[in-house]
Amino acid sequence: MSAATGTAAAPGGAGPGSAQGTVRRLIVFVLLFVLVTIAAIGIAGLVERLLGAARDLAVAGTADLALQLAFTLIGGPLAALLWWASWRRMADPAERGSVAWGLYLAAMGTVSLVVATSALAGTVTSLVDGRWEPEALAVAIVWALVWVWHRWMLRHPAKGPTRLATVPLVLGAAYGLVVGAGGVVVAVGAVLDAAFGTPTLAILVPDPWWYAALDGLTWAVIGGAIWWWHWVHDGVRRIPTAFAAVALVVVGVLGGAAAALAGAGTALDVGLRLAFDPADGTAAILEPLGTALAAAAVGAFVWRLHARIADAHSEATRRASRLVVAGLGLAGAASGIGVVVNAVLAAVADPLASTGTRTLLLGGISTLVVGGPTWWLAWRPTRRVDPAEAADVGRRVYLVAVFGASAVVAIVALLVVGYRLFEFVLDPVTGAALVDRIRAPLGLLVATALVFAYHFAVWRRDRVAIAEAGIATGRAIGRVVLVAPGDPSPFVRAVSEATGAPVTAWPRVPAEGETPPDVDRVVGALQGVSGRRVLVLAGPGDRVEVVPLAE
Amino acid sequence: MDDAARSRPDRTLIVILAVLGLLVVVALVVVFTRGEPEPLDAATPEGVVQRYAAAVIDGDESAAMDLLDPEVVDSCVRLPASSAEGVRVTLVDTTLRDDTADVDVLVTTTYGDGPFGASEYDERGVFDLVLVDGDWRIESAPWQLTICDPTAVGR
Repeated sequence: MSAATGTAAAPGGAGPGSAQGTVRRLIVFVLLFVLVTIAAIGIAGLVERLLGAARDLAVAGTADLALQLAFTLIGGPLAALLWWASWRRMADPAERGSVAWGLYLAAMGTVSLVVATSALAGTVTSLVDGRWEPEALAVAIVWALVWVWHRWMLRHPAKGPTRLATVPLVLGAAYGLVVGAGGVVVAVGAVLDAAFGTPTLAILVPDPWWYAALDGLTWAVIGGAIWWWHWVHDGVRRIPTAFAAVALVVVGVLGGAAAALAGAGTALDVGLRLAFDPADGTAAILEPLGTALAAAAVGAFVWRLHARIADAHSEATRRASRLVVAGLGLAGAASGIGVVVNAVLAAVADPLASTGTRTLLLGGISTLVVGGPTWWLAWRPTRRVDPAEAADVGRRVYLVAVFGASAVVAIVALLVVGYRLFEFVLDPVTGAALVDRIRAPLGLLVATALVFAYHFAVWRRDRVAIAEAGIATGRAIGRVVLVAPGDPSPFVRAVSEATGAPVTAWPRVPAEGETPPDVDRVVGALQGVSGRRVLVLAGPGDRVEVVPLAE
Repeated sequence: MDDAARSRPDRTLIVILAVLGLLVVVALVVVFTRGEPEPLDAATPEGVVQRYAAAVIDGDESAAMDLLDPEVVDSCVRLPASSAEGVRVTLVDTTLRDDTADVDVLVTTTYGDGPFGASEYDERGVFDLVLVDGDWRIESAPWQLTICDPTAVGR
C-alpha cells in the first residue's frame, strides 16, 4: 500500500486525493472553460468580418471590433497558456485520472459540438432561403475546430482522461439522435401537411412547403451524421457503463416512446374531432396532423430500435426500458381520465353559453386510448409476478415513484379544490360556477386516486409474495473495496454483476512477474459474505482474501 | 392465502377498469346528448347576457348588437373580429338595482389543443346592464366578449 501512495503522490506533496489538488483542478478547468469560450467568440467574430467583408456597404461604430479584438488577443493567449500548463501536468496519472479533467472535456466537447452543429444548420437553412450568413458559418468553423481539438485530447493515448472518458461520446450520440429524429419529424411533417393540403392559412404569402421540409432535412442529416459518428464509429453502442445504459433508456426508449404516443394521441384526436366535432372547420382540425403522424412514426421507430438494444444489453436495462414505457403510458392514461372527468363536469355544469365540451372530451379519450393500452402491454397487469421479480429493485423504485408522483399531484389538486370550496362557503356564487372552477383539479384527483389504489394493491401483493418466498430485499453486501494488481476493470465488472454492489477499485502495483488471480476465484470468494463494506484483496498469485469491515 | 393474495389485485384492476369504462360511457352520453345550454328568461339580465354571449361565440355580431345599449351601438367602433373559440361563460351572481344590473360571470378560455396540450384558465368578468324602455340592455361586457372598442371616443 505504501508503495502505491508513494508513486501516486505529486512532486509538490499534494497527493491525488488532496483537497488542495481538487480545488486547484476545479478552478483551473472552470477558468479554462471560460477562457476557451471567450477566445472562440472573439475569433468567430473576426472570421465573420473576414468572410463577410465584401458584403458590408457601410459599417458604423467600432465597439464590436474592439470587443472581438479584446476577446481574441487577451482571452486567446491566456487560454493557450492555461491549457499548456494543465496539459503538461497530464503526464501524471493522478492528474489524468481526475474527475475535473473528464468533466471539463465532457462539458467543452458537448458545448462545442452543439454550438458548431447549430450554427452549421443555421448556415445551410439560410442558404436554402437564399440568404448568405457569414456569422453563422464563422461560428460553425471556429467551434468545430474547438470540438476537434477537444476530441484529440479525449483520445490522446498518454494524456486523455481515464475517468468519465466515455461521457462526451454518450452525450454526443444522444444529442445526435434527438436532433436527427427531430429533423426527420419536421421534414416528414411538412411533406404530409403539404399532402393533406393544410398549409398555414394565416400567412398571406406563405413560404413554399419545401422550405420547412428542407430545414428539417438539414437537421436530420446533421443529427444523423453526429449520431452515426458517435454510435457506430466511436462504438457508444458497446459502452458498458451505467451512464450509457441510462442514456439509452431515457433518450432512446423513453424519448422515442413519448414522441410516438404524443403523435399517435394527437392523430387520433384529429380523427375523432373530424368525425364527431367538426365545428372548428376541417383545415383548423387537420393542422397538427402531419407533424403528429411524423412524430408517431419516427418516435415508434426510435423506441423499438432502442428497446431491442436495451433487451440485448442486460436484464436490468431490459426491465428499466419496460418500466419507463409503463410509466409513460400510465401518465398518459391518468391525464386522459382526468380530462374525461373534467369534460363530464363541464357538460353537467350548465353554463350560460359555451362552445361545447366535445373537443375536451375527445382529447381526453384519445389520450386514454393511447396511454392505456401502452401501459397494459408494458406492465402486463394480468401476468403472475414471481417473487424474484417482485423483489427487483427497478420494480420497487417504479412503485415508489408512482406513489410519489401521485401524492404530489393529489396534494396540489386537493389544495385547489379546498381553496375553491372555502371561497364558495365564504362568498357564495352559483353552483355552476363552483363546478366550473373545481372540475379540472377534481378530474386529476379522481385519476390519481385510481392510479394510487391499483399500485397500492400491487405493492401489498408484492410484499406478501416477497415475505412468503423469504427473499431478502436489498443486497447482502453494501459496497466492495477491491485491491487488485494492474488493471482492475474485469474484476470490477464481475464483482458488481455478481453482488449488485458498487465496487471501489484500488489498483495495486503488481509484483515482479505476477499474474492476476482468476476472476471467477474472486467472485467465488464473495459467495455467502455479507456486510456493509467488504474489502477484497486479490493476489498475489491465487490468493484471495475477503475481509468484512466493521460498521 | 396464496389464492387470496393473487386475486386481490386482480379484483382491484377489474373494479378500476369497470369504473373507467362507466366513466367514459357516461361522459360520451352526457357530452353528446346535452344540446345547447338551457335558455333563461329573456326579460331577466341573465337571459340577455346569455343570448348576447351565445351570439358573440357564434360570431353573429348583428344579433349581439341588438342586445347592446343603443347609446353604445351609436358610438360603436367595431373591434376586429376576434374568435371567441373555446370560451365558456358560467353565471356567478346577479346584482339587481332599479334601472341597472350587474351580471357576474366566470369566463373560461381553453387554449391549445391535442391530448396533452389543452389547458384552460378562468377569469371573473362583469356585464353592466341598463334598463332601456323596459328591456335590459348591455352597457359593457368582459373583454373576451366585447365587440365595440371601449376606448374609442364616440363620434
